[in-house]
Amino acid sequence: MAETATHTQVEILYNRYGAMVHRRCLRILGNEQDAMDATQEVFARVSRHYESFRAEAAPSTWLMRISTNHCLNVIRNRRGRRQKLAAHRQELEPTDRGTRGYDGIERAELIRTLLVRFEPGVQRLVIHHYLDGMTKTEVAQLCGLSVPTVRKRLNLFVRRSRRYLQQELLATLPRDGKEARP
Amino acid sequence: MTGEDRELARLLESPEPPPGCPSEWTLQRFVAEELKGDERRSVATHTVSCEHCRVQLRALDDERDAFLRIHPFDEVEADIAERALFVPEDPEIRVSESWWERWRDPLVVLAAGGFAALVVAAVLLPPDDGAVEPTTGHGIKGITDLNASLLRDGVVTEVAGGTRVRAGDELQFSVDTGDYDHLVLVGIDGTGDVTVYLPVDGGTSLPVERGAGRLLEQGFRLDASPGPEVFVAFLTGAPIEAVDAAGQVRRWATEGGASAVAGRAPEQALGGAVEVLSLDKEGAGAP
Repeated sequence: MAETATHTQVEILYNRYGAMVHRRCLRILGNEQDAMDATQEVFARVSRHYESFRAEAAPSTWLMRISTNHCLNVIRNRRGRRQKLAAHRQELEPTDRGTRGYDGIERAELIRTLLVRFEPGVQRLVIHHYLDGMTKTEVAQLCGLSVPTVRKRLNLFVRRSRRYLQQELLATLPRDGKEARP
Repeated sequence: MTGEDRELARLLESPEPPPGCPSEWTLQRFVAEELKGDERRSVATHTVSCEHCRVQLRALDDERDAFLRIHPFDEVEADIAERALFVPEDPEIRVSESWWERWRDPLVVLAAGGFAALVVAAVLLPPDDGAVEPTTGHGIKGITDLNASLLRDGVVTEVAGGTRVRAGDELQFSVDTGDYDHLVLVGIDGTGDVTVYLPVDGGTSLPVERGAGRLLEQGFRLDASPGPEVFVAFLTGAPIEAVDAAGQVRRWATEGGASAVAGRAPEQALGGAVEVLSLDKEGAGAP
């Protein structure tokens, strides 16, 4: 059976990485309740499988894998919910400003809206690059892919996304600082 | 470019850090005190002189403090402990989906064998007008793309960025045709020589079925001409002439050769969509 973490070990990791995990869960899932739920789930897995966690050179790597898989499962389970571009802007504004200001919020919303349309192999790269702020080289290292492969898949994401948005979502984009009406 | 196009371009802009600055990810790891040795010293030294990164670091610090103030461990400890009881024995921690992992799956190997046979048949057998197009794909509608698989020494591999082709390789193309019904496939090599691959007679565009992952029946064997090998798919709603598509590719290649085509080709031309696949080539100029 896997070694289980002690109360103190989990607390130390939570205090160091809790905000980082919560931040990316919020960016992927788009609302505070789901993000905090996911954060607790991630640390529950840390607690339960501390042995494999301890074997990782960088705790952040393991945490990112766990949280990515969990968040993508949550997204998949949101059946029938196609999020519109501006659906969560008001909800996100107080907490998701992050380090990129309002642009960061818009981008996170956009990426979330588009993620559901792509296969998992692309979703993970997009999350790491656009939401975690990794460079393509860092994404390649984390995912065991070549940098050109990461670049090609991200380019594919951008190309397809532009067309999706041009076809379906332009009407929801804010114009002249005003929210488009449904 | 319209205002909406610019807005989309801005939002989808790659979030690479400014030159010389660490990534946002690296700064997050710095704040989490995960960086060690030279890497930590490098970031610390950099932030002394970089206002941009100092601001980012301060924001990350503030965010961590706010998080722990709102959600202190004491308040979530019981929930985490309870959840841990229900975590499966084998956590799903793998994130990498490199191509070789997929090939380990026997079903994929079986499918690959069938695909290889299809490629060989496409090359060796005469065209069959009544043949049914095999399809793969991900169900995406209205989106176009050009992809290829490579048959080399009896092994089929996915062509991805960084794949280097060589003389004798056989390429099998697949296209996401989106809402278009006609295709012209044009290639240009390192000498600037432009070739119409499809339609094979070089005449009017080839009718294609709409959908993702449409496998083109015709496979192509690469000759010994120098690389890069750049392939351009023109997908249109109405028939076009291959000679016009070839002319477009020649114009994009002006003053830059084949290498310039990928950068110059717009997303739309000749009333339809344009998809480019650029492949480096080993042994450029070999006989």
